[in-house]
Amino acid sequence: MMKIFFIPLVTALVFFTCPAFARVSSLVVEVNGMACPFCAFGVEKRMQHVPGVESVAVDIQAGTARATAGHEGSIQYQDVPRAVKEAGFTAGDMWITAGGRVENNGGNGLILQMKELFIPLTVDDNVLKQRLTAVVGTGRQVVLKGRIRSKEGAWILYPETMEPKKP
Amino acid sequence: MTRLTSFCFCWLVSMCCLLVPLQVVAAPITFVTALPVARGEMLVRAQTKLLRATDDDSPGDRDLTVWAVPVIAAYGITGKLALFGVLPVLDKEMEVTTPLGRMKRGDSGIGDLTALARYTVWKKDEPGKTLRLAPFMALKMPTGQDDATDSIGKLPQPLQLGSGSWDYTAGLVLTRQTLARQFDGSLSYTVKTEADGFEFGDEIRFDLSYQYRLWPRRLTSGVVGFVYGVLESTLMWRDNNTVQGIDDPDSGGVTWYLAPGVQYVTRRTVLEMAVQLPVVQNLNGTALKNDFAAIMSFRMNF
Repeated sequence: MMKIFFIPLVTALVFFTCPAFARVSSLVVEVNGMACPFCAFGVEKRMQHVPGVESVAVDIQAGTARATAGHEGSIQYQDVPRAVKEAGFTAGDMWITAGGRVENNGGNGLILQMKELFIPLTVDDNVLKQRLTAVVGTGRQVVLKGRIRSKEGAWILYPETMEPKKP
Repeated sequence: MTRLTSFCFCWLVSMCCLLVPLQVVAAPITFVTALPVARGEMLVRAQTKLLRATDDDSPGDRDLTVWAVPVIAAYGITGKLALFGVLPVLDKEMEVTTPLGRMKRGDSGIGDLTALARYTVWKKDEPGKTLRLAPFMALKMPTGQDDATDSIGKLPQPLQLGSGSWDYTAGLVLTRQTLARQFDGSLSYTVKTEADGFEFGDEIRFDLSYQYRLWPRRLTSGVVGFVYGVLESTLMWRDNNTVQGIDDPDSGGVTWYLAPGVQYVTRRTVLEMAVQLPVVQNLNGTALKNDFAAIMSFRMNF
């Protein structure tokens, strides 16, 4: 009986504490091997199958594909390398723009807490690290931009910039 | 009639090569490439080809015109494995001098269906460039009519829309593509089988293609259309045909074609044209030599 009340309560808490912008709103991935316009279309099509992606723009010269999430949507970035592979190419580095709260992950460093998801952060820049640490526990929402990599099966975000939530 | 038949045999073999290319993905106009077809995605290509062959030293003074519209569909099973289907619509007409005077013979309709599978076994992808190797296998099925008749009787086998035989091709294609240019090289062997007492000679084919981006000279961001200048080379050796198990001396030989062309490539479409010109036609006996083959093609990503 308690479950009937408990589950909606937890769900509601998650949504209230992680507002709509707690998400991966855009992503840029390097598409290695892509060198002609006709090939680019296959990349676009496969990227559009990634959950959360609303639009894709390919840049042939830069060799990248930019995915943008729909309103309040969040891109499932973990699926992007597979989408690029299914298009017949090789995914290189990936950068995301993600919003959420910066929290301490116990004694294991910082994380970016989104809705039901968190991403561990690795920060080399001391200034940025101080700024991130300063917002821990404050409940302030921030937007991080940086490279994201899969390391031993876990995704790690290497933030390069932090911006406060825009009103 | 024997000479006419021989000529037709030889001609049909070359036509099989010239008029039913299996390439659909990207750059080469006259043969297959190793570039990928995305998983679950489909491409369609429609070509119009005109082949003229009038260089005939025989008393028959043969004059051949073939229009072909091969429709090619490609589907990506995975990022590495792609399947292709080719179904040609053909219109063949030959004028020949006979004891009864100048005559026209020919037929039109759907030709033989070819299915091809290509798998990328190795690739090296880098920013803005790729190098990949893909073997392919093809099976030509006898779906076209091979027993058409006219007022004289049954059409010679080469004027039939289908060969009546099951033919098998195995090959390997290497593709190097950068933002500025592309190179493709393909080597293939086709085994022809017997049908109606006739067997086309086996064939070895070596293709090269070089494409160079003419426009835009400088790339900008996004996906712009490219115009490529294209030069392709096709070297073919064909074995003699056999009739009732006996070699036909007026069939087979070596041919080498060059095909200059141009392509306009966008993210969803490709429009291209080329003219395939014979450089060497070292054919056996009195086989009819080709004058040219003009190719116009349109491809679309779905």
